[in-house]
Amino acid sequence: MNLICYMPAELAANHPLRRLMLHGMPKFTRQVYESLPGLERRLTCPGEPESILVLVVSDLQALESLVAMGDLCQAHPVVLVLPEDQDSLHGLAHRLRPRFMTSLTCASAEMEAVLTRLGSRTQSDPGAASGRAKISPEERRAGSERELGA
Amino acid sequence: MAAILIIDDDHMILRLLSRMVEKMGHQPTTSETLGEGLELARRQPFDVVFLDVRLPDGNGLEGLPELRANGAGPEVIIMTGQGDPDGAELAIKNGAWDYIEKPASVDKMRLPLLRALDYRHERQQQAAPKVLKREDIVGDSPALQVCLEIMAQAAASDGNVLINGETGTGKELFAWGIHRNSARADKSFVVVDCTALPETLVESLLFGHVRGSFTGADRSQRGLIEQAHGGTLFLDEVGELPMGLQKSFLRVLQERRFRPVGGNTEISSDFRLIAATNRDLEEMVAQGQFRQDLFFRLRTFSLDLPALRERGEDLPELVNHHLTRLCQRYKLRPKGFAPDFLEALQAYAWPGNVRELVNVLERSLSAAQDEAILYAYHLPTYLRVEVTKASLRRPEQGDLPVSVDLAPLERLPSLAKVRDQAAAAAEKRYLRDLLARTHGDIQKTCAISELSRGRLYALLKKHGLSRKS
Repeated sequence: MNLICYMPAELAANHPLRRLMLHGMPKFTRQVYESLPGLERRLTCPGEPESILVLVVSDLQALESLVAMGDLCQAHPVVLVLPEDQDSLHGLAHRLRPRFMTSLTCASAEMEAVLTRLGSRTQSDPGAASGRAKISPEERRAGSERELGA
Repeated sequence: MAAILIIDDDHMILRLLSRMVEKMGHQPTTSETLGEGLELARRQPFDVVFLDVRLPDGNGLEGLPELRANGAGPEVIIMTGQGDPDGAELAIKNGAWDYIEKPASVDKMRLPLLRALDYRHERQQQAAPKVLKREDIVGDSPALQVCLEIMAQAAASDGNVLINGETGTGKELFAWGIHRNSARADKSFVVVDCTALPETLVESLLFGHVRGSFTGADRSQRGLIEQAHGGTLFLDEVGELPMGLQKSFLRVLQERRFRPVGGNTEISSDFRLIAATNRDLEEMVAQGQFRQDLFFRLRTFSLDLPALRERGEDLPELVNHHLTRLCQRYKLRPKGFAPDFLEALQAYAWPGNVRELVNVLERSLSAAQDEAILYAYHLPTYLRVEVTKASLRRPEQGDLPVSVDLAPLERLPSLAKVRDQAAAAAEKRYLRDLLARTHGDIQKTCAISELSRGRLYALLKKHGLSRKS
């Protein structure tokens, strides 16, 4: 099961979500990005196995940038984390068609439960790249950028 | 004057219907076989087709999608001599106008014709239909045309829609397409993924909750139903909706009102519901796993998406479309593909449907790197193996030296001889196909076939094959 996470650098080091993304859920392989260009570079690498995309949004500007990536984000199941008390972002957030949308105050256990369910479905899906067969080294093109905690 | 095509192998029915059509002031054309009927429909437009099910050259229902896709999309009235509820269901699902059982009185046959012609007349009076935004829905096969027609009807109305289809057939894409073509297009399209949400979370996510309503609810939260106000609520994998919640959701569908968890006041939400599933909800209802009243409420429109293997003719267009899109997404130069690439894709069964196709194309692009043309060699190994195995399994004419049920007993060879000959034929075909796929590359051929170089050359000599075979 693969996880690609975008998490802004300003999210506190001891925030439960950061801890979960970096150190929790041992069954997931993960790539964590703190910059949007880094995330975009990763999403433009072809042939990587299907991954769950966890996007932690700090403000309207970040959300707009993610929506502008459009097709790149929608190639994966998206889990969206919005700042607290930002109901006004909901309309724009749904443009990413998230499979689960929550806020920064979400309990880690809830997030973990959702990701585990999404992950097991991705694995058993005959249409998903990761569900069929591992990509052999010759099929795989090097180039995925792993910024943190991989 | 309307043009009416009658396809039936019963001369009496042909005469009877032709006379009836002429008396009504329309022009009948008759055909005794399905093949001839399809050919006629390809050549000239018809308004209505009477189609028999049991025809000498095939089942009329199999020709229904093509008939519907021809010309101005004639209305098709199915006729059968036998009671067949499954056939009737199939006919209606494929867009038949009506289904009548023979023998039927002239009046019984005239009535559906009159109604079909009235309907077409009314449709022609209406303003030209607006162009359907197809988004990423690619193809023009008859099976897909039926779906697009239902999608257009659903988009023009505000009724609930139930989309059925295997994994990867594009259920969300069609749901999005309905939303984008509807009057609600400017509002939110809210996805509720019933498989992703743990049972304990679904209720508060759907209905929202008020502060203090349960441990951890330290602030109020709007539910997804409320967020869909003015727009569309897409309930993906609705078959997974917990039984306990189905009753509450049914009430929301009936009244468009709900109470957030822990709340005292009701909230209203004006949303349009689209639900999707890859499960047989009817069967789930029969087994008591899904509420019948909710099932009926969901399917004001019912859209059954075909599997990719059922619309193989769309494959070249799908490959072109997605290759272009993927090259744009990954900032690659546009790539073409060799005939053997498409042949291999066409020989594969696609259990994961279009989603799997897109993944396969993505992996092929990755394997090809800077090469301008994609060959079968660039396809994922699992797919090439599957296609090769399938081609070996498929019996070809001449595989067996004799036909056991036809040859005289005294001329039948022993089983061992038949087995050896069949094995030799399969071996030769495998090596010929493999060499074609590897473009005569001995190293690759040895690697895939797991033969030593010496053994490979010996077999090539035995079967009279060369590297360029």
